[in-house]
Amino acid sequence: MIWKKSDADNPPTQTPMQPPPQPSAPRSQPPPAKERALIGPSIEIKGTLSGGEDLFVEGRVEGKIELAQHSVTIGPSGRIKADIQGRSIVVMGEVEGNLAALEQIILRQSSKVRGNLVAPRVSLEDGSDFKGSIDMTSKPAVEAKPLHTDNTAVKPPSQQVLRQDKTGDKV
Amino acid sequence: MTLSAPRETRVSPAVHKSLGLNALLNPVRGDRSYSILDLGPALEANVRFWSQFSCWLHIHDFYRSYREWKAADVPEEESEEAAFSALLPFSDETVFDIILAWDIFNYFDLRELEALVQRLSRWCRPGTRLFALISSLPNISASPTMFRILNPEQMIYEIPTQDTRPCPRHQPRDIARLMARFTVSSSFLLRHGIQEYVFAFK
Repeated sequence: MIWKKSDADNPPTQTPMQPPPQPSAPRSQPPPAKERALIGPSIEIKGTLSGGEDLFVEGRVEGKIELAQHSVTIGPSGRIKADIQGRSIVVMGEVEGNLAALEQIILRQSSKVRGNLVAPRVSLEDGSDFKGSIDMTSKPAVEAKPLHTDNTAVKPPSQQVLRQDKTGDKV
Repeated sequence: MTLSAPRETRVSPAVHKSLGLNALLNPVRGDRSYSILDLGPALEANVRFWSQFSCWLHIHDFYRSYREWKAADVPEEESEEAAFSALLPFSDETVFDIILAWDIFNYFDLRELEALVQRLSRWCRPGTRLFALISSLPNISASPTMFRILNPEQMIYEIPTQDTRPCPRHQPRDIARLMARFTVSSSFLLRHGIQEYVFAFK
């Protein structure tokens, strides 16, 4: 039989699972792990998600994801019906909605996206099932123009018309 | 017993020179923005290529969408017009500078093509360019080829399957009637039996 020590016997900051302190370790503290929130595969959220840390979604979200200063990752089992704003957005799962990123959007091979993308850099891997538009105009993302849908696609300014070539011969 | 290797379903990608693509891109300038409709699937190489320009790229994988629409349980009376309205849902204010039809003309009959071109014409303005590759071969791949832009003069043809189907071999007079609202800005008959067309909306 093993006698259980009373709580008073245990130092308050040490548990048997913790390694002993390393006196020879450098004094400088390692950088804290980047905070990241996780929405697990069994979680379903309806509404607006906002906050101050990166987000990894493996569950279902319906509504809006607004994390303009943070990265948003939609994992392989993530199912999103929402517009997403982030500093950078990576999609491995399914998204139905518009994506706007300050830095970049990456659609991985396993992704399925129906919506419009706005970001200074957009990377789309082969195999990604994407239908929608990609705004690669040089204006800064997010604040450049409101997200649009195909049904409200706007006409580019008239000076953007391609120069019409001399009429060719008919077939 | 010997194990046979699984049948290779894809044909090895091959690089082809494209005079039509070059003609299409010739007027494209870096100091302007372009609105581009790509009727093919989303491909990494093409997104990367277009990202060097200031552009608004719409990707719609039209042939696959149409196949899915036809496979769905749609009423008999649903016409191609209805399908195309649903599959290409752009507003009347939308205007495209470039339409990449790739080789999908080879996968529609003339009646379907007429409805498609009529639909696309809504979003054209004088000078809008439409790029199409029309085959004169007796047989074509069972599914449209994926064209990856390498540079303004070269594309990689990636044929998704070794299976083939008869090519409709649209005749020049039919194409001329079909594209009555366009002129042929450039056309090039390539060695492998494909004619590249750059049409310009009148």
